[in-house]
Amino acid sequence: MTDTSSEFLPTSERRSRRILWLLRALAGDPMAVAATIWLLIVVLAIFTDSLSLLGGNRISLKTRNLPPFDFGQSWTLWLGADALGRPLLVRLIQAASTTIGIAVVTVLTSLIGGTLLGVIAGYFGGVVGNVIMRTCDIILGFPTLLVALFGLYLFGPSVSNLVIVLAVTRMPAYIRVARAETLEVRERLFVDAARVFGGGPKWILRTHILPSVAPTMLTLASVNLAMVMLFESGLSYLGLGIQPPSVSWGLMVAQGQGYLSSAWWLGFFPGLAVMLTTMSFNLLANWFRIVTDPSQHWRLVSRRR
Amino acid sequence: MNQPLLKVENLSRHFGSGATPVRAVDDVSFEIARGETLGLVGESGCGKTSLVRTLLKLGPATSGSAVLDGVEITKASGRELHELRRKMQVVFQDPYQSLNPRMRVDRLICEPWALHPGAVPKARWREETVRLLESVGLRAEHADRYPSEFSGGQRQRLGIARALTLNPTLLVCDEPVSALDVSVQAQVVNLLARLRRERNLAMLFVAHDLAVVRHVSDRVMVMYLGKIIETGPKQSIFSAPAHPYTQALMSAVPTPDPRLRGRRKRIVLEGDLPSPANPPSGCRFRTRCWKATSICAEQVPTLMARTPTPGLLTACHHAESEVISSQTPWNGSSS
Amino acid sequence: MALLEVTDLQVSFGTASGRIFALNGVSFSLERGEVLALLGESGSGKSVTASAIMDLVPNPPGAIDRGSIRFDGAELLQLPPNERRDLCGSRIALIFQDALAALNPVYPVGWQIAEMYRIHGRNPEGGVDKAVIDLLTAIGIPDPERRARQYPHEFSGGMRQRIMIAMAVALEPDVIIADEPTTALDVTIQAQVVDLLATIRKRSDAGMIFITHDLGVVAELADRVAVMYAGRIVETANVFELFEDARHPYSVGLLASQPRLDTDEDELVPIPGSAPNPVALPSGCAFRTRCPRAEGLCAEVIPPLETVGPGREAACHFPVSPA
Repeated sequence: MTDTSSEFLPTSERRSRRILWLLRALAGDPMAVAATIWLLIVVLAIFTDSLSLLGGNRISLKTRNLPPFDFGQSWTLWLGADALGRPLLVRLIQAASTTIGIAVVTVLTSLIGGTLLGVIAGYFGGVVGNVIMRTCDIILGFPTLLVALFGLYLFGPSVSNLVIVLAVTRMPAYIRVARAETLEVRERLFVDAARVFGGGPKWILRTHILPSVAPTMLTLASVNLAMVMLFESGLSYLGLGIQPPSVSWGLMVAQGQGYLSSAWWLGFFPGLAVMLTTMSFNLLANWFRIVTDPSQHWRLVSRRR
Repeated sequence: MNQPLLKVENLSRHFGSGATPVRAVDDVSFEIARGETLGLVGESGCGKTSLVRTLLKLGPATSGSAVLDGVEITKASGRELHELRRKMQVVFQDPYQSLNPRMRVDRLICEPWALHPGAVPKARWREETVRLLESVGLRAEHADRYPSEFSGGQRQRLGIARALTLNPTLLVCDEPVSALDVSVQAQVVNLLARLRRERNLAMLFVAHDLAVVRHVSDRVMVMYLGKIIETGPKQSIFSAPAHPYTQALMSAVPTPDPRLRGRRKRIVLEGDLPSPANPPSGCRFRTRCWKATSICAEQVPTLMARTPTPGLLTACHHAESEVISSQTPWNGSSS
Repeated sequence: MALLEVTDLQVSFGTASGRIFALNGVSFSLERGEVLALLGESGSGKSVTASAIMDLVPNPPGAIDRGSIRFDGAELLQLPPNERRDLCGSRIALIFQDALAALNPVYPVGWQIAEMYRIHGRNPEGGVDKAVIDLLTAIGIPDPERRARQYPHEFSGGMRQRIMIAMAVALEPDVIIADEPTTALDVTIQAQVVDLLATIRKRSDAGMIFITHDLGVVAELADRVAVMYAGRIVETANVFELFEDARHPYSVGLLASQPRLDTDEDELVPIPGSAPNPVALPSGCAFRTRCPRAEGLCAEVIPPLETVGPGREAACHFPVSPA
């Protein structure tokens, strides 16, 4: 039934074998490969932007509202230009870092905060658990957009406030899911076994509960990325999110809304970028879930037995 | 050493509060000597799982004491409890649930050592893991795999290997073979017997399969509704039980020999198990017992020697040994 | 003519890792009034046999690839679905392994037993209600009028199992298939269920197929035994012959590895290895990887089920010699 080596390998070799295995697993899911490629492009774009390699963001009336796919122009104009003549491709790339940055930071905050609070509420229960859950209920009682509007109106529409507001309103969902999963894992026999070995709460949370809960939470996070991107664009549209001259994909979509019939590319390409990015996150999260669950590995990597 | 390894006195575990708590374990006392295997039999609802969990300190005891090697389990905490854990380990029933499916085997085996840094130095973990795997009949390469890649019998071996990592003196086996196929059960039973001999392990072997208990134990305890109703050396319990419940239990086990069909008179117990929240007064078995009389409802029978059978302690007002022989028809009398 | 005759039945399931052959050419027959035990461990295909007869194989992913099931002369696999459904349940009954799962928790027990009559449009004399009460009494439920109105969770495991048995025999079927009816039960409850089944057998001339892995129960109830391994029948024999003089190495191994209450040997003799992976069965004889008698031929040719004595068959190239 076994076909692998008969001895233990040194750690460095084990690591490279593991990486090889991960690559094989990735190849087993073509959608995940496509997602990875897209995300690599995005990362590359952000990288070049940060090194200011793109130059031309100048306003130029000559290229005002230039339609896309005109390959006679310089490569930056292949996706067209906006009302001020700025190349759309360059704007897209600049917006990428803002959009992705806000989304990732927001989701990470609510993911980490929500998971920790949920796991604590689930494992310990009692007064602490109750306090956490009732706070969740209160937050959930208010519609996200309303809270966001109030918060940003009161504290000013800065990027950090935006992140805070979005993270806090998204957190209860994570807390609830994490708590529910923790309640279930807590009762499993292997947790009892760990206690019999002498594992205290910290050990059990770290070694058994968090890893079991993590895949579900990561899937939730990836789904949330899309929602956050959309919320951010809505808020930007209302003037409470990203303020010009900073730019985000959501803001570009909102701005392009008025030009749908005349300059469709202004709203289309940013929207396409949002869609491809969120889809990629979802597909990768799905792949990640399978990779972290050993009993599902056969879906990706068929072993010759 | 004449001191018993484990001494349990008047241990109780009740659930719930108020007027009628569920008396899962009620005033239980027994001992296990070093290197001895005590079998614990009983049907569902008898409290054996609760007893195991209380002994392992997975839940608090309501009253009573359990002393392992001089340390009081019910009151131990902190460092003392941590030290105690090294001496007492467990093999659970369900091989599919007792191993974390996300952890590779080598991490699973090393977990106890990570929790007890003094036990085995980290540099030797790999070597010790291989040694343990081989001692339970697995191979070194299995350390790189995940539990889901093993069969039920192999997973149970992993559970046993893991239980031995800290070199315990007492191994609690909670129905270790019930979830396994018959041919695999035998493998695991043999393995446990061998390990026990090699390491002079004391074992508390909980099972509902009487035949398996017979093969593994030195002494046997029978539980009913939270109480021990009979205990004694294996020979005495299996060949001449005195308590009516034990007799019924023995007679109910079908023997794989078709020639005895119809010639064994089986005692079929009437009625159902009473609720542990509201057990019958006096002797708890009286509602299903064919020998019950008025005294059974008034006085709780104490566990003591009531028959000349060596070592047999019975909690019954009408204890009477019935000799069971495999060749002659079972002669359960109702006198 | 046999009451139930299964010939060369093959059932397979499509899974992500390939097609699994749960039953690989299974043939046996059941006479009236006979108790046939299908003995095997997990993965042997014994439960799939019951599902195939009762038309419970989920399709997809399962499929009956070939073979025939003849009941009282009629070919079941070719019956139109509603006729088949009518037959299964009224003339062929199935007792499930897990009584709790098979009883609907939101209906009273008496209603569920009565449902058996209603579904098949039967009208027993004296009315359905009386028949239900009689049935509950026959299986030993005290105070049946009151109990019939109670819900499944108000009964103990053993009682629920007996209620399921009652439902199965309510319509006086010709064939009763019991799928591991004693496996999840305590010993004393097992005894009650075995007794009940023995009583039913005495009182009717229904044929019974008893699916189990417990040799003790087989010894108590069965007339004939068919031992299954990896989707095939490897031995059939009369129950006395099997226990005293088994021919197939697997049967011998199974008998040797069971601990017995009446004797006290030191070591059990287990069968080495474990059940084969259904996706990757060994070539030739599926048992050869665990068999002490295996030789070269066993890896190349699948042993056919051949007669090794009057009324008994074994599928082995090198069967154990007669005792």
